[in-house]
Formats: sequence, C-alpha cells, structure tokens
Amino acid sequence: MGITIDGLARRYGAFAALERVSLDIADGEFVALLGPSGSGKTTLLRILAGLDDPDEGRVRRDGEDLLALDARERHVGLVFQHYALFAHMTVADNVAFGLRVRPRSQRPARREIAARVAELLKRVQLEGYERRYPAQLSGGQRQRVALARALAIEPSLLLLDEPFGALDAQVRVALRGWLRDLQRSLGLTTVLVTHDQEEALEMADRVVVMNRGRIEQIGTPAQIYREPATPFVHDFIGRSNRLDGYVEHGRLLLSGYALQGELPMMLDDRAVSAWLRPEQVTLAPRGEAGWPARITRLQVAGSAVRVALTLAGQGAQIEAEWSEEEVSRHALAEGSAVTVQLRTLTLFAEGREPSRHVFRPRHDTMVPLTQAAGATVDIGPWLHRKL
Amino acid sequence: MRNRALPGFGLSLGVTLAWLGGIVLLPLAALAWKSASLGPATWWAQVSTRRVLHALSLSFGGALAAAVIDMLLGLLLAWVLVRHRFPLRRLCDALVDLPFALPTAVAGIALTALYAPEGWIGRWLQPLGVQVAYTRLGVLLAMVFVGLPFVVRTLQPVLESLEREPEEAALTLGAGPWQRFRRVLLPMLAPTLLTGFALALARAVGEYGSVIYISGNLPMRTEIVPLLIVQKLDSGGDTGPAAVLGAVMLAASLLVLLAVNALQRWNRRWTEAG
Repeated sequence: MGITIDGLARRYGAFAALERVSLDIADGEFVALLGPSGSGKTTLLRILAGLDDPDEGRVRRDGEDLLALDARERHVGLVFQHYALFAHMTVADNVAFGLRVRPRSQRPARREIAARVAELLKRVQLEGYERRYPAQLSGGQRQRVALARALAIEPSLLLLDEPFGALDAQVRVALRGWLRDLQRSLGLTTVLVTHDQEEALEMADRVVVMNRGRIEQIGTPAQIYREPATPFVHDFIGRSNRLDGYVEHGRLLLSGYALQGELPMMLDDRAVSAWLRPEQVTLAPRGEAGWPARITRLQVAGSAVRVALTLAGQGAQIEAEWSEEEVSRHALAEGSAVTVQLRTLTLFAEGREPSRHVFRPRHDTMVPLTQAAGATVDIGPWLHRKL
Repeated sequence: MRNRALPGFGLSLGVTLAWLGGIVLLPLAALAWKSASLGPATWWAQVSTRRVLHALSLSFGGALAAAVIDMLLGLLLAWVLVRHRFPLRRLCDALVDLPFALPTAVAGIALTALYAPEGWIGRWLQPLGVQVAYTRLGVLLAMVFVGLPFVVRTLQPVLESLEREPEEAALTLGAGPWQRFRRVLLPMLAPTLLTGFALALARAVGEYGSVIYISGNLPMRTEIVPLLIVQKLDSGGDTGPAAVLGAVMLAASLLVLLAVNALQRWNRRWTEAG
C-alpha cells in the first residue's frame, strides 16, 4: 500500500527534528532514510509507527489518514535496532505475541497461531528454535525473530530502525541480501532507517538523504551517488574532494588556476564549491595537458590505490583513486610528480539562489594565475582570497 | 578471573567472612545453641500453647499479607515516581524513605494517635464500623508502613533503567495497556518485585516497635511473637523459653525466604543463556 507523507514537522522544544518533510512511497517499494544522527530519520519512522506525533502534516495510506489511527491499529511492523524482544518469552511466544493480543473475536485459534508461527520461523530460517529464549540466540538470530514477530501481524508497512546496527560486519552483510530478497518476495512496502550509506545504497529502491530534519535528496541509489543534489549529499555519500573556487569572466578560478569550460551566466561573479569523487581525478593521458601535482601518500587498498595529491598552484590537497595496475605501470611512488585531470566537477553556488552545475574543465587551456600571484581578489563582498 | 575490580581477593573475602561470621552467624548460632540445649519436651511446651500459636500465625500471616500489600502499593508508587512528572515529585520521592529513618516506636505512636477511635482518621472510620487501632488491622497497617520503602527502593532503579522498546514493540503489535503491563512489563519486573517482597516480609516479621503501640497487645488477638519473646525475657531470669520462640521464628523466616528465593530463580530461568 502506498504511503503519502505531506509536510510533516516535529519540534522538541527549540530543536526542529523534522521540518516540512514530504515523501511518496509506492506500494511494495523499499525506501531507505539515510542521514547522520539527529537528521530526523528516526523521528520520521517513529511518527509512521505511531510512537510519536507530528506537530504538523499528514500521512495517508491509500487515502486513509494514518495519523488518526492509534499505534495499535496501524498494522505497521516495527523492527528495532536492539531487537526489543520479550526476554521472558520463548521464540515461539515472541512471534505469536501479535496474534495472541488480538481481541477474542479476531484472534486465530490456538492451532492456527502455532501453524503461523512455524511458517514464519521457517521463513526466517529459525526452525527448531521455538523453545529457546532470546538470551540463548546470537544477534543475527534475535533480529530474525524480531522480524518474524513484526511480520506475524501481516503489516501493510514494515519499518526497520537501524536493524543491523548491533550486528557484526559479516552477519550484517549476509542479512542485508537476505532481507532484501525476503522483502521482494513479500512485496511489502518497507522503510529502512540507517546511517550506513552502503546499506542504504545496496538495499533500497530509493534513498532519501536527510539532514537536520530536512530531505536533501530523493533518488535511486545510482542517482544519489552520481548526481548528488547538494553539497551535503556529495560529502555524505561516498568519498569526496572539495575545492573552493570563484567564477569570473566565464572561467573557474580554482586553487591558483583558471579553468575554461561551459559555465552558465548565473554563476558569474559567484563563489562556488567544487566537488569531485576520487575516481574523477585521473592521470592525464600521454601528451595531454593537465594539472601538475605531487603524490604525498600512496595507500594500497586491495585492487585500488588511494593517492593523496598536492596540486600545483595553491597546493590544494585532494585524493584520487587509481588502480593498482595503473600505479605500478607508471612506477608511481610517494613524491612522484604527475599530471592529473579533473574529469567532472560538481559546482554548488550557495547563497540567495543555490544552484548546482556540472562542469567539465578543458585542461588544454588551463592557465596558472602566476601574473596575479600574491594579489587578492574579492570573493563575494565578505571574503578576500589570495590567488 | 584475572582482572578483578576490587584488589586483594584474600582481604575482601576475609572481611566478608568475618562480617558474616561475627555479626550475623555468631548471634544466630548462640540462639540455636541456647534453644537446642533445652529438651524437646520444653520446646513442645513452649510452642504448643494456644497463645504462642496464635501469635505465630499473626506474625507470619500479618507479615505475608503486609508484604503482598507493600508489593502492590510499592509498584504503584515506584511507577508514578519514575514514569510521571509532577510538581513536588522530588519531595514525594524523599518522603518514601521516612519510615526507614523514623524510630519505629514514634511511627507506632503516631499511627495509634491517628487511628484511635478519637484520632484524626479513626473518628471517620468509627461510624463505618472499622476499627484500626488495637486490632489485627492495626498490626497489618504498621507492618505495611515499615515495609513499603523496601519495595519502592528496590523497584525504582530497575524501572528507571528498563528499556522502553519492548513496550513500544508490544504497542505496535497491537497490545492494549493492560496487555502491555501484564504480558511485557510485569514479567520483566517480577524478579525485582519478589526481592522487594522478601525484604518487606523480613522486615514485617521482625517488626516490634511500631506494632506493639498500635496493636494494644491483647493476648490471643493482637499479640505478635516478638512481644511474647520480650515478655518471657522480662518475666524471669531464664532466657530458655525466649530462645525457643526466637529459634522458631528464625527457622520459619528462613523457610519463607528460601521459598521466595526459589520462586525468584524459577522466574529468572529465561535469563540463563546456553
């Protein structure tokens, strides 16, 4: 069942946990709410579960007002980070709980409950554990019991609050794929809250990146990674380099160089932050122009090598990621002088009209700002920068 | 056991054993020794009188009833103090300890003054046909009064550190308020409740000061065993009869506390992993 979230706001005293958050979730979709702690993702989840109430906004499930329903009546399955199992009940009793507390008229017969529990435990691969207590299970097993317990009430919406947060790395990765497959086979609308981008990008159909109670970007995992909508998303997702620059006469002044390329008029005379991923910093092919740089650190991480570079000009530090093969072919070492190209820069101009622009610099026409070295230029009315 | 938090295992064990031996076991052993030196016939003669049997039933029956009441009342009090925020909460919290600090005789006299037929509360109960002072009800009241802080103070820290998530999970699974309390909260609190019960019970059994003032000490009606012991000591030079009664009380208390302990272990069976 589809969920429509419209203008949700929640304040705790002076702190705004959610600010006018709107989001549509399609039937059967797996959505991940991704953000640092305090970004409002858990608040949003708790509001959906009925454990917290928004100050403003609406949530509809197939046209029905979800917020008007008590948490008891929502049929929302919730899985907690720390499992929240009933420690004094066996695995089977935990799973059966949601069925046993139903009013007598809606409660399935004892035998039906037992059959349903057996079926659910089979689904989460815990057959034979019926009589164990939670304290006798591993973390991964406990979380699967919690999932079976949530599924027992046949929820129309499944909420997962950092479900793998308390597990070992190995168990976490194994459970991720398994849970994704289970969710697909059930066709259950699911919202996952996590601060682990790998988890979000790997599991979700769509990722909602949140920051300070607002949604920064909504998109598929590929969109989020390749086309970050805001500096925050670029910084938060994956690895990023940030350089501060200034646009002047159709050129981007960046760390002591002037770069030409397509720049929209609206960026003229504005300070921008230029972002790029380590894999977008490449070695210039033989005979092509590029940016002179010096390798300050080489760190082999499996097949990839992380390379710290100091760019000529103002000596900006950036990070590149090259293949091990490439590094050994060019016999690169710490201290080597190289020529690099910055393939794609994502420019963000902040201020009155925030804007985002993808810039592909032409390296053959780049010129050092030597003649102006030592002079200061105004970057905005408030900032003076030495070129 | 390498990294011990307390240094000097030998020293701490020594202190523990010396304490248990010198301060707890030695007087009890003396009591057992003294009473054992009397023949079975003396024992029987001392214990089987109707007056003593009656006092025993009042002491233990009253204490059990008081401990049950304390458990329920204490749960309510601890719940309100921990889960609710209201004006003067800190003051109320501090008041809970008062029965600990008050000399029990003072408590007994105050309760008597309040509940006597002409007292502040007693005068309103009198027309309803309820008499508290100088009755078994009064004994029960005094026992409840002295035992209550034990339950509240054992429950409070546990309630405070209790995870809210299992309750929230129960809520999203469709459980109503009573179901959440009965099926989730109460089982989690049960071991602590039993500890509080045992403490309140032990206190009520041994209570002397406050009970003797409010009970009126009517033989066969409102007389408790500790009072009988004191009377036997006062009546003559021989401490034998008093020792017999003391030993009986000790044995009975031990049995009750062992039973509570067993119940507690059964109740905590789910925490043992493996």
